[in-house]
Amino acid sequence: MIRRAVSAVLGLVALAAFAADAPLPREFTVTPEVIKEVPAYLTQVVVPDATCAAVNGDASLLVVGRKADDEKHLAVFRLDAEGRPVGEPAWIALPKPESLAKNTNYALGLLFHPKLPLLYVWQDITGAPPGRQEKFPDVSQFAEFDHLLTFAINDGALELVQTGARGPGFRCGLNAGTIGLDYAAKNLFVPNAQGETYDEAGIAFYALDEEGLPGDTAEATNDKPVKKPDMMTNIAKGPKKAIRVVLLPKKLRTNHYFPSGAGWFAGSEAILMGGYSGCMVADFHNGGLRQTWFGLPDRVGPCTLAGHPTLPVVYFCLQDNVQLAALSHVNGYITLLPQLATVPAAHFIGLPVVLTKQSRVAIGDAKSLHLFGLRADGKLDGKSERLLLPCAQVRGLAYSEKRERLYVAVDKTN
Amino acid sequence: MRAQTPAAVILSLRRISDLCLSSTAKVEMPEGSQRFFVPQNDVEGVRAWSRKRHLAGQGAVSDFLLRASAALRFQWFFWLRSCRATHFALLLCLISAPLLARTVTLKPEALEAFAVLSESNQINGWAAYNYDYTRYGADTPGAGPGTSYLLRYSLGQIPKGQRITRAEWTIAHNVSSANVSVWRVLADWGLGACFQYRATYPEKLGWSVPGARGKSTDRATNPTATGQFVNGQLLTVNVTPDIEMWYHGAAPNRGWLITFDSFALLHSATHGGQRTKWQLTITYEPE
Repeated sequence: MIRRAVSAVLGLVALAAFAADAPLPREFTVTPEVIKEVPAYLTQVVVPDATCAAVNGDASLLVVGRKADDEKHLAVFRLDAEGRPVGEPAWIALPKPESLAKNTNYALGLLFHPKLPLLYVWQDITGAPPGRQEKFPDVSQFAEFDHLLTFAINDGALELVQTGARGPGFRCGLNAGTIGLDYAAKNLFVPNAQGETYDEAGIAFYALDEEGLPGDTAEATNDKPVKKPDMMTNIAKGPKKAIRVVLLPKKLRTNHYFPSGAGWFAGSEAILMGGYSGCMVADFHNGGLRQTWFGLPDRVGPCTLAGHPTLPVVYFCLQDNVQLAALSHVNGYITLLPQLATVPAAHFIGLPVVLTKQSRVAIGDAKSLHLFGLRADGKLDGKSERLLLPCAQVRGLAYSEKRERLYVAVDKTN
Repeated sequence: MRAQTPAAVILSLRRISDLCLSSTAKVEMPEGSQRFFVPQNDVEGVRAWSRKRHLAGQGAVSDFLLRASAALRFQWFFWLRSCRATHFALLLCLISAPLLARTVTLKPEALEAFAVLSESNQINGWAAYNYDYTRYGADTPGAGPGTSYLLRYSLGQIPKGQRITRAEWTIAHNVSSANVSVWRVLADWGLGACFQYRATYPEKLGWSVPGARGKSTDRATNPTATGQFVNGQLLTVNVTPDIEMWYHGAAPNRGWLITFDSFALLHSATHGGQRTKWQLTITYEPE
């Protein structure tokens, strides 16, 4: 009996050791551990109906975009030395033409220039043509709506210096799409450009001038140009804001549905973009932008994407669904096979955000936030936490590596 | 009688018959062997026999035989052995071998690495199908003389201590009549594998010939298997030698390179519902 008992114990120990060392399958299901204590690295700010967020550690600014009927489109928080928001936010209303006064415009994407004191904002507006008009939609009402807004940071305040990406060349009324820079921060990529048909998403990119403003000519071109939208700005408030004609960004078809530009990551040789059912790898080849689409293995739908800033991994997240994928890349080229995590009953939403110091990836959900653990190589480690938050949809996430802090916009205080 | 699973019974017989085959000494039967059944408590008798069979002190094997013999009460085994044991053992081997064999089918979930080697997009390891020179797709695997594939399966599902008896790999294609060659890959490849490089992270390492075409350096001198696609049929090739080598550690498992002599449209091994058609079926049995 003793021998049997000892054998059983040894067997269990061996089994436990084997289980602990068992490699994580490439495709796995994980049930998150619900955490009740808010982690010390997480800072909540109250911005109801948030859609996006960005933080600039050097400028000590946190900006949260929102979608609401009032004129409070951007909440601008100043941060103290510890990275905590100080006082109430300043509110900024985003411009729209008088003809669309009844439509709700909202920020979809925010991006700080990595070196220059600039904030790029991608805004969208409700009132897209109904489904029955898909083949021949009337988009004339959006002719004067500018999607791209460039703000300068002056003494901690944001000042609008340029607008652009106007007209029917861009799709309106979407819930995903943001802006991204290439590796050298010389080209600005914008989302949701209109492809050759009303259903087809395109992308577009501007060359930036020395001041970081979208210039007249993009550096690379696609050999199949499509309809060029009008790029005139519609505001003039200062020397740099004089009405100017900007040739439009070079456009590129994607042969995929909307959205496009649902997250960007710039590798040294190629740029990655989240889009419909996967991501796009775009590289410059013989002067043109060459694209390769990598789809999710089994599912379809809009995917958002974010890259790890230091490790060769990008994460893309199927929206309103249960799957998160971690893909290796080298210099922007997707490589080998994706790691797929399935979280039952999840409804992921918004852009993933990488917490480099905490080795986690954060993704929003309805009334909660998911925090996936990362291994040393940036791949998922199979662990997941879920934090309940007072927010209908957690979309306003931003991480400051300098402050080692994750900012989360919520609808109200706990 | 102690309950025994069929597999355990078969394995017992197999072990005992192996011993019979290796023996030339005269067998002295344990006490009580004249009875047809050994009493369950007659372990000492079997132990005495095992000592004569030089099994004493051989740990698990000896213990296993003792327990198996006593539990199964197969006294008739000793009787048979004294008569024509060798023939009986041979018969047992023949009977038990197929019953002990196990087959595992590795599906794409067992793929641990995959890369496309595209001559027209040489630094992208997922340029599987070129619609035109500006647009490629990863999900639709086109293949041809300029586009080949690297695949590596994990063999972790095969338990240790087995002998590989058969391994067949089904390559799922959609439309084609191309001739296909399956090559064992010799060069180590990993992150960033593409036509030009076998890895690009943390540093760029090239193939000896781009596209892993270097015979005896990037890939084996001769293909492991060849075949021709026939529309409407899946192509299954014999890859037993490679699996044997990898499983026993005679060569590192660096997967296969599939090459094609003309255009082929494959079913994706990584995307979509057809991917389960890619199957690596391995049959093994205890050594």
